[in-house]
Amino acid sequence: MQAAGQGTGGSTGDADGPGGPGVPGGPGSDAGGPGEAGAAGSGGPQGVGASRASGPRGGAPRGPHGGATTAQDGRCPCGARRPDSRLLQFHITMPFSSPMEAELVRRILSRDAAPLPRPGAVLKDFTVSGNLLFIRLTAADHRQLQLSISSCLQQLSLLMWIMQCFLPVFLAQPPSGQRR
Amino acid sequence: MARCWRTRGGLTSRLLAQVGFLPGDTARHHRAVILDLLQEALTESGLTSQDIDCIAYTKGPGMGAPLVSVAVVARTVAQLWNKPLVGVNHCIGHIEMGRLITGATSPTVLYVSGGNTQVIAYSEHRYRIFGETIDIAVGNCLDRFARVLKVSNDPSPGYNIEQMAKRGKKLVELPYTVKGMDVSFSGILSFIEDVAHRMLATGECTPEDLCFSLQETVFAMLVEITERAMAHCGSQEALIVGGVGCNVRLQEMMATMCQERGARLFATDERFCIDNGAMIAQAGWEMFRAGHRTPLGDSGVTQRYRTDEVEVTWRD
Repeated sequence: MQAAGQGTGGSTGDADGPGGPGVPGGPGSDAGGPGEAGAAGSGGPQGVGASRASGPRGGAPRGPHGGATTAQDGRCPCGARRPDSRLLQFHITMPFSSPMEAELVRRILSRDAAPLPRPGAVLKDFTVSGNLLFIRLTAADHRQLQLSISSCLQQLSLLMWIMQCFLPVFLAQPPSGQRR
Repeated sequence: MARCWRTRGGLTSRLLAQVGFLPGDTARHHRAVILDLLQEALTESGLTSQDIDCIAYTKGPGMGAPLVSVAVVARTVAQLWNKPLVGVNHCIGHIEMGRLITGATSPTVLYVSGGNTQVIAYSEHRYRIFGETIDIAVGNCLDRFARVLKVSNDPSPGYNIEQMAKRGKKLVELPYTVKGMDVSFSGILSFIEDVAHRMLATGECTPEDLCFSLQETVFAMLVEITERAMAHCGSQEALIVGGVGCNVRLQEMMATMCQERGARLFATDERFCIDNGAMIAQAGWEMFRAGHRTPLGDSGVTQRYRTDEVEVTWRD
């Protein structure tokens, strides 16, 4: 497993929580790691991996595996809809040393993935294939997406740090995982 | 329990010196120090991960970003160490730590901090909220008034207000807003912000007088609703928890009320009044022993987590 981004600095996390201040990313907020991110779209957020999902007139953009993304008719899956709304997506692929690690990170991050029942909520999708973790964030609002990207990358960075500290100990334990 | 705390380069004071605790800055601080803190706690206590029985974390209430940051760590460590997870209500953490430290058996609890103001009593496996603020917390009121007076945030605005109040001599009449079992502070704050400028400019009073007057007014309100709850419950014990519970004047006023009722007052010092991890561990321990477990799927955080939402199965 390769180390992820350079620390946990940058903008505030918890894009989906009410009342979180919208501070744009600062130093260290880029992904910076080995993950492969989707292409940036025109007119969308300038962060890595942002792409613009099509509205009613454009062709469907592709996800990490080439599959069409959701919401091809411009309707946000979380229920928000504006006249001629466009959906924005960010996706990143993170390789891990083993499928176990990828799955562990997916389980932990996906706990907070359920969108809040309000317009503009960001959809988060975490999937694993082998040792690869795929993260996809979808939003109708670029500011929400920007915050969510920053939050997600900060959590990833923190997870990497935790696993660097404790994973070697975890792997050294006997397979039965003895407990008191 | 190992006692570790971490502020990095006076970060706590710097945070308060701005506009209070900002969620993003607080979350960033937590992420920066939490793993070192965890390692330090294990080292200082001489324990390893195999000695740990469960991982307790704050499920809420509180600011979202910091809560999520710590919840992520708790989940990860629980997964890596294969330990059960227990999500703890912050308010109940205060109560259980207060009961442990003071030995109070079944007190009426006055929980007062920058974020919460509640009068709580235990009944039938719930910590029932008998009264609370209907707007801002009492600590928030004091802190925001400190900004009006441009009082230093070092070590904390509430502490400095308290020290200034000791030098106050004149009681300025302020709105007294007790509404049944509840209290309201936002109107008092608006009022005193307005009169402060006028009265200080004309020399009618000093900043110390205003600090004294504000404390006397808001603390009297808290004493009233606590006493009412004690009368309702027939309680002979009162326990003050939360950061504002460190205030000596509040403790004096509560002690006077308890003495008049033949009741006993319990309070902790600043090590345990103010938010701390040990109180979460203590409540988590009680919950764990009673069989509470938080599945990974339920291990999110709740910014608005009511004290009475938790089933208190560890008490009769």
